Amino acid sequence: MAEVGELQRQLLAFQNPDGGWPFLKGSSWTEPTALALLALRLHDQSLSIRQAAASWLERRQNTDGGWRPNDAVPTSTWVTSLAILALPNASKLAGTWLAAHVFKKDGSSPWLPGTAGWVTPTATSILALSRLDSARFASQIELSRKFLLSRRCRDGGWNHGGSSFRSEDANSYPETTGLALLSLAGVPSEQLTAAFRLSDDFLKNPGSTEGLSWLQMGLIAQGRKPDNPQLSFRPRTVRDISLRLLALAALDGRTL
Amino acid sequence: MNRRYFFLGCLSGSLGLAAGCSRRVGTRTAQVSIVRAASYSVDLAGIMRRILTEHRVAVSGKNVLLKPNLVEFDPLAPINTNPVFVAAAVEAFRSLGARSVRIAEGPGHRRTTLDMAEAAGFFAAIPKFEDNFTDLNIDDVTRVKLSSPFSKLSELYLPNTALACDLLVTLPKMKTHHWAGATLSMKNLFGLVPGSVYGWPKNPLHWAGIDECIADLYYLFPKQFCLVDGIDAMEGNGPILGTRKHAGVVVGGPHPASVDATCCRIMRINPNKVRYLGLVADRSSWNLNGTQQLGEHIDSVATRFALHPDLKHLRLD
Repeated sequence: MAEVGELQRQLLAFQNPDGGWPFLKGSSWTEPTALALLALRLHDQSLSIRQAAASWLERRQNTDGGWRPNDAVPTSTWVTSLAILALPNASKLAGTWLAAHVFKKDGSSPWLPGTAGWVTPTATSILALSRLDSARFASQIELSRKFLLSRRCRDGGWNHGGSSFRSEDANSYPETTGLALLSLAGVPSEQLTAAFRLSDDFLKNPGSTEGLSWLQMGLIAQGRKPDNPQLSFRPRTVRDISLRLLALAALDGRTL
Repeated sequence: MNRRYFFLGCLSGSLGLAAGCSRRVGTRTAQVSIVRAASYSVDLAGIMRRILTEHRVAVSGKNVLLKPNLVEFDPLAPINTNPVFVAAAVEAFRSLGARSVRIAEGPGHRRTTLDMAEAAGFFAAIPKFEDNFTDLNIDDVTRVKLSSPFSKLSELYLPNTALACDLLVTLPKMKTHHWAGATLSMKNLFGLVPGSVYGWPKNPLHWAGIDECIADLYYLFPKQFCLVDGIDAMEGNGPILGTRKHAGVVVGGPHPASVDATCCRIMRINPNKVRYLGLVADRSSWNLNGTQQLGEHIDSVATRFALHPDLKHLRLD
């Protein structure tokens, strides 16, 4: 597929000599590196490139089991979930770190330890814990799914997931709605009817590569067949390119 | 210009107040300009040049970073600094001899920064926008220690693009804020904090105290100038869910707290009850009620902004 080839070419052009990826330019970060590695693996890109990326990622794991977002920021954060998804041999310690940062009171996960839980880190935590050991982490996964279902906007989708206090009329975003649907695979579809309807509307104008890609991946995970509209915008960052490649793989039957 | 020379230059400014030098005001009063602007089709670049000249801001040879407010895009709501306003600022600073003029922002809720900017009209209004824009959410960062913070934070990671500029120009939209009362020059600095470290929203700032973090950020960036987009503003449940309020003004000055206090009075919000302004006043010799207005008088442009029902106690009258 020509689009895949062009996206791969763009992605490789962004790779830093150390094997990792920047968001756009500059030093390598865990998040874009993990997403790029995932995308390249699903498209069977050159083993040596993937090994360099995996090696970069493995070296960023902290002794507590979590991953730092960047060499300038030593604290383990939510990006641990992405590293787990990208590294097939992620350790049990990584899962332990991630599960320990699922709040017992409501099942949410924070961006940064010590703060509140939000939709995106909760959704990626569900995906990573499911990948690692869905039986071992069943209680955390179940609780986290309940959190996501409780943080829906009035329109049935998801935004960043803040409290509705003083924000009762806040709208959903395409990207967080798609990601939430992806992490809610297996939830009975009758609970998600409004989200499906909203996603179909969003697909007519997703507003961004990221929005389109997460929506497609989310709907496919829910057993639906989303449209693949002609892009009216172009991927702008390493995240955009990687997410687009992941969505194209999902449309072709290969998922995270 | 090195840092010492910069501060000496500031002291020679009018009333001893630092033009483009906002931290630790040396006197009790600051000057703030209020200029009428009926719409975005007036000569905004000319207005901005006049304000900058009035405040004797040294622009020539400087690396200027413009920080508009870009949060979310809704074609029906004035959430963001109008792109025409930002384009005028680019023109004004370039015409005054800035070495470089970049635009930068790190939206607090969504990660699709450039896509939002395109939808909001920034690409159409500003030539080569993408080449001159830095998404502060994904910039490389440096850890900065807070020497005597108001908040619970002891350090912040901040984007290198913001730390490296010679002059940070905040271009906020005049809006009510359902937590802080008003979001203006100082609150606009939240967009400097990188989501790549702190998330979307930048929740650690909320946990550490919104008002306190606003004050901390204010002290971290000593070289600022403010130009507030108060032409089509937002009232009610701001900063996202409020409604359009035409105020028809551009407000500018080198001291963000004084600029914000002036904007509050224009919005008929009592600045003495806005907590982050009080924090700055308590720590410095700045007189919250001592601002010297240039241009229009506040009373001639003041217009009562609707406030969230929970914030009625902030009313000026």
